Amino acid sequence: MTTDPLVEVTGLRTTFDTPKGQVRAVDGVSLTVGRGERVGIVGESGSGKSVLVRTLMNLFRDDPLTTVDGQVVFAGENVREMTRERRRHFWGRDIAMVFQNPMTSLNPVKRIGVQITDPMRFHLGMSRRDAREAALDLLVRLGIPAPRRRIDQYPHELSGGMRQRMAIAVALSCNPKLLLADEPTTALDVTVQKQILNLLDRLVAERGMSVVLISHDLGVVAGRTDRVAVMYAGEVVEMARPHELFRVYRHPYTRGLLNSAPRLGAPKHTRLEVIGGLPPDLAALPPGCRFAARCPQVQPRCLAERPPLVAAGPRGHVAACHFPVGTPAGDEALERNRDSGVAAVVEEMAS
Amino acid sequence: MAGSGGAHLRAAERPVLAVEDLEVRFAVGRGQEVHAVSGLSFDLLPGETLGIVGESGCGKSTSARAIMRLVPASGGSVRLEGEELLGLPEKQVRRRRLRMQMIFQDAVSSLNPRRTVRALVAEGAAMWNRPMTAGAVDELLASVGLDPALVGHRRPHELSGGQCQRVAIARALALNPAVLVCDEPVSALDVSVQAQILNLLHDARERYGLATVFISHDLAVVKNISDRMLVMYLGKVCEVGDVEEVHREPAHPYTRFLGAAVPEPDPDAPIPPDEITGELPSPLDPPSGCRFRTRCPLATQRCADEEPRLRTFGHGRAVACHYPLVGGVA
Repeated sequence: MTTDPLVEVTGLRTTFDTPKGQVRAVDGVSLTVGRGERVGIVGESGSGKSVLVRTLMNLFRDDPLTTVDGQVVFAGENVREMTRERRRHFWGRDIAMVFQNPMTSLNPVKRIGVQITDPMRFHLGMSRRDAREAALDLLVRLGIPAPRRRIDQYPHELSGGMRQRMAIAVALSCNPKLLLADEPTTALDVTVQKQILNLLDRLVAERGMSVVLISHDLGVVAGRTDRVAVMYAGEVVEMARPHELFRVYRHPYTRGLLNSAPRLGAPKHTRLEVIGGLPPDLAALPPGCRFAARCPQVQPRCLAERPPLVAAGPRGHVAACHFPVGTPAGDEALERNRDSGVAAVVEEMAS
Repeated sequence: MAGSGGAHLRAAERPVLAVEDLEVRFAVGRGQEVHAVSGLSFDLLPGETLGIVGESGCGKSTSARAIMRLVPASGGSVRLEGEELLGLPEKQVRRRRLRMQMIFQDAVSSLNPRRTVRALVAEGAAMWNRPMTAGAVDELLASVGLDPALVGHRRPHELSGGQCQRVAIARALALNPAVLVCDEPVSALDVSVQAQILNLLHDARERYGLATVFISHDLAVVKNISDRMLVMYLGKVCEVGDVEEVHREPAHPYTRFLGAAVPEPDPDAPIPPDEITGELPSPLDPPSGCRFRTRCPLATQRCADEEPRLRTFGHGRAVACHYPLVGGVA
């Protein structure tokens, strides 16, 4: 897959001008998405996941308060240099997005059917009748009961899960090469979430589409992606195939994320691992590692020197840490902090 | 999922909170009514945590509000330390609330934005003429993991969501309640902060011997914090029992599907097929008989005709289903 990437992001930087100063929401992210590859992006709020995919789509192009640096190449074409004309077909036909809240992404005053057929007619030049037939077919595939009635309804007449299915139908209507799903099931109940994720999996596999699936929930991306990137404070801190990431994680933040989530399989009252402190202020980032102030194995070097994203294991596993978890250097650092109580000092720093 | 009935109540063990046949109905215009909660019964022993879990619209938050008397109950009984709360005049209810405090999902908006953290914590006690000393306030702040010197003078907007939830917890603990009702207290928080708050609630319970009602849509969170759990669906109780037992051997089909739908952070865990289809029916027009029958693969004609009642089995468990997965056929 890496031999023929669909998307190549290099050194992407998105900075917002705010009264507080320059907020570096995405800061130097490089990432590829292969054809037919499913990439998961996880991280907590403010880690830059959503801004990353919005930048990837070039949604900030006309925003005077946003500065974008770096390169996004989509199927050999530089996204940031696309003309207005080209962009109109880039969005919808080449790349499509499913947002968290379908109530705001769907047009409340247009019938569902129109919202699904409009892109088909505009991008693919289909006739009204053909588009309607194709839309009905899509609704059937999305498991929507009574599609002939639903297609003429308005978004407010549908339940949350049904609306999100419709938003997926709009996104898939022109068979895009890349689907960006930004927390597509976060607002839904777990039983509905599972139905929708399974549905997405199936449709994406059938069409050989590439997917970027964003979630704050490691469980959502675990079994449904080929590669997972963990973001923290605007950077990718670790990236690997799920099997490596969930078993032999190298970044202390990945470990923290995994161990702080309560597991169904764990006994009741299991003490959860806590990541102390708070993420750094994106307008005043520390010079060294951004996780240093919360890291249990922080060393003086971490405060001074920003760790680069380097190979940390087989099959493209990369991590940005001077003292990776599970390596002799990392174990030693953790041990040293335990003995000397540096962890206590760091905790103080963080609070 | 009828789930009416109080066969599982443990009156002999002197519960600190006993809820029986709680009913909440809201008028929604045109003479229509929503039965948000029907026939909810549970009890809570001192120091115990009961997790109430269910999807949106199942009535779990409305139950909490009705127990606190924040919304009027249409029927039933809520006894706090042996004393009936429903029907008490508002003035007396306020005094009872000293013994039963609540924290909310959106901690930031549950705090008065114009007060400082110290004032917020001391406010409740001062209102009842038992002012706290500055030292006591700071001690309480420290016990919820906030540095009084650093945050004591700040206002809610200067704090993170997790810090606000800590203030809300300190504020509730300041009155030395017997029961703490938590309505989705960690749902708006990132997972690392969520862990901090869950650990804190656990410690507070140990230290103050608090009994807790913990409401959440997240089964894994409820599993972590609770001793017993109660599963709700469309305003009714499906199943009650020890959290480990219910997880290991769910008796109600809905409990099993809920558990199977939780995504596990394990790439090797097989993703089970969709056993449950469709979505929650409208509470305006709930299905006859068992309310879960429209989504239940085991449903028969009997489920449509006859509402299953909660019946006990095993060790302190109860289930409302004609064809439970464990505990024998009704």
